Amino acid sequence: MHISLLYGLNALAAALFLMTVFLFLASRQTAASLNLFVRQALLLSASALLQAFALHSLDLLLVAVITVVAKAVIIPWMLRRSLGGSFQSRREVELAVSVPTSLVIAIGASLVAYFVAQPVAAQTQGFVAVNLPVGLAGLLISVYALAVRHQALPQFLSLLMLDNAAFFAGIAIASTSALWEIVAALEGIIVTIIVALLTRTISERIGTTHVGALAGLREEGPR
Amino acid sequence: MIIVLVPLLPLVAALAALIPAKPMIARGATLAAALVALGIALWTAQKVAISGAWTPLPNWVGADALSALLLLLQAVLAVTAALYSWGYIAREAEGDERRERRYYLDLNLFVTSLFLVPIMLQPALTWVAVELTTLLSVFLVGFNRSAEGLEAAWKYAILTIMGATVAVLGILLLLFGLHGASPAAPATWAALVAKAARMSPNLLRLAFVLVLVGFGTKVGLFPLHTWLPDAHSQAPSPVCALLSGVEVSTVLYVILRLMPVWTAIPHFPVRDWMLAFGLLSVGAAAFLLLQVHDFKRMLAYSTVEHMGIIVTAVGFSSAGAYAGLYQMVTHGLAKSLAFYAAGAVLLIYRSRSISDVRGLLRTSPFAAAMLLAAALAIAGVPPFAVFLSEFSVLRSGLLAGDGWIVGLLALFIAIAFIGVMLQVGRMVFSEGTPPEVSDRRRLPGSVVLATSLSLLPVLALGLYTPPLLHRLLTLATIAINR
Repeated sequence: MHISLLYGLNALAAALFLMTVFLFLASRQTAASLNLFVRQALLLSASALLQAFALHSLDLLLVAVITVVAKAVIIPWMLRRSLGGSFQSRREVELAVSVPTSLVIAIGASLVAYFVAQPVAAQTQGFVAVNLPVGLAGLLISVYALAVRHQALPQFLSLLMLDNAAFFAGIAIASTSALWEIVAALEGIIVTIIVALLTRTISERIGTTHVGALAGLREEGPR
Repeated sequence: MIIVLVPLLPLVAALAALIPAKPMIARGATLAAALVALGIALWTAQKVAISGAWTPLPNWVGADALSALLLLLQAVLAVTAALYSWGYIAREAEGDERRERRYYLDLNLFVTSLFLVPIMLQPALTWVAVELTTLLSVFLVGFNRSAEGLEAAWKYAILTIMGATVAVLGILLLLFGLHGASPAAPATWAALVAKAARMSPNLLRLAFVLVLVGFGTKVGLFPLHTWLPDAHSQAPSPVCALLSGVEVSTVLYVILRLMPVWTAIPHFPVRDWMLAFGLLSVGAAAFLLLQVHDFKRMLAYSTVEHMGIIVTAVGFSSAGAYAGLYQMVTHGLAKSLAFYAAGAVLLIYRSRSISDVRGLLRTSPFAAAMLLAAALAIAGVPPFAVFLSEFSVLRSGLLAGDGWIVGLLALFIAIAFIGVMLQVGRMVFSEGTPPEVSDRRRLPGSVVLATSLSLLPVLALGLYTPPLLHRLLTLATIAINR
């Protein structure tokens, strides 16, 4: 396959990846948010696969396979199995900031990411120049998404999107270590197990996963 | 290869905690593993003090002075935490043996992850170990399963995992820069430092911001500190001692290890960044210390203050690094003492509220004396060790010509001193003991022993610096300033 075609397809995957972040920010249903995470993981895997072809890298091929298995299959399955009730269709995600305002902020974050990554991207060629700014934009927007969500599961899904964004940039800039990617994928599964257990414990003990409403621990002040 | 045993020993103790038998096995295995790990850490420290570094598994596992220093501090606190837990958790678990064994399982896994951080020679693997310290301590933070405990555990998990994810991009950028500068170089800390001058400054600047913000979240630097007072106050006291005493320093170690990389960036004011983050953390914590209502939160805010002091010290100059590392050691020891004393108070009063603790001196002279000593120690009063390290920090700032920063730092330390002493004074010297506490005055023997033992190094290091410690601090300072 011609290298410029691979670059072009990777740029398309990157654009779709960024779009999933924006859609996630606008999404108001937990089940839809999880579906977006799965699609984003597939795009992350597609980018790794394209880079594997371009660089003739078996490591990246392995990364692509691990990403699909861990993030598009195992993690969603574990979340649905342990927190099935929280994925009831039509369940609303509570947001601290309205969707239009959030989208404007996300556009601003994307521009910031582009300008911050530009000096580094300008000194590189090919995949890094695309994946680094898109990954950085995804990182900033996911941190914002985490901050404006009140319930446990949407917060955790934001964290998983953040992880995807870091690794979207990561596969391009550290494309030589499959061991590292395997460890990172396993770590992602451990994170999911622990946070899912914690979410379930909170739900059982307190009767809600509305972690934004938990305010027993307040900042200090006069009594 | 013996250094590999250090993280393996608590792992074996964790397996022992899985045995469905009397908790005595889990308690004994935890303490024995910690004691042997301390012996190996001490042996490693002596070996490193002589030869400068020890790498039994090149490019994978080893130790230099900086990592040996941290490993030793971790091992000391692991021993006192294991000893303290013996009686403390037995009382907290109220006869629930399964719950007690679960505690020891979690505690040992957490200690394993802590031990892994300093001995890993590859930044990527160090990052994995740092992430594991969070994942394996989440359930310790929420151990009491109250709404507040679970809220703290949730904040702790989400914010620190977020920080680690941001930091991983910084680490990956560094590895990318290393690969560009020297494709054949191994992806180790040593190679990063050696090749930093040949890496792109733009790339290093971006990596610095990501690492500082990412790991700074887990260190508890202002304004990313919000999770720390919650997590460090809700966990059982021996876990608080480990979280505040060494876990934050363990993450700070990663930032410090990269100092030679950051200072290689041309025309980049890395020390100014450290001064700004450090000073803001000390200032914010000092004022918050005046307003706390919960004595364990007070100690947690004091941790934010001390992390700020260390970061400020490293920002001062090359001499500041020695003082900062010394502060890391003295703070770890003093803060563990403080949490052990606070745990004793909690066992007696069953409340973390400062206003609920009345007449402590009459109720339990031991707990009162230990809490007072710990408060004086963390506030930096002579002859305690923190006084010596804080004095060294201020002195290094003056030598670096940062007079106004030293002035501000001294002012914030003084405010923090007032905050801590006012709150502890109220608890210790006030009149009137709630009648219900009289049945709980008698503290478990292990609590008394671990707290008393913890006081010894806090006092001793204020009067005398052992040659081994001085040698490690000197070599570690050279490593940071390379």
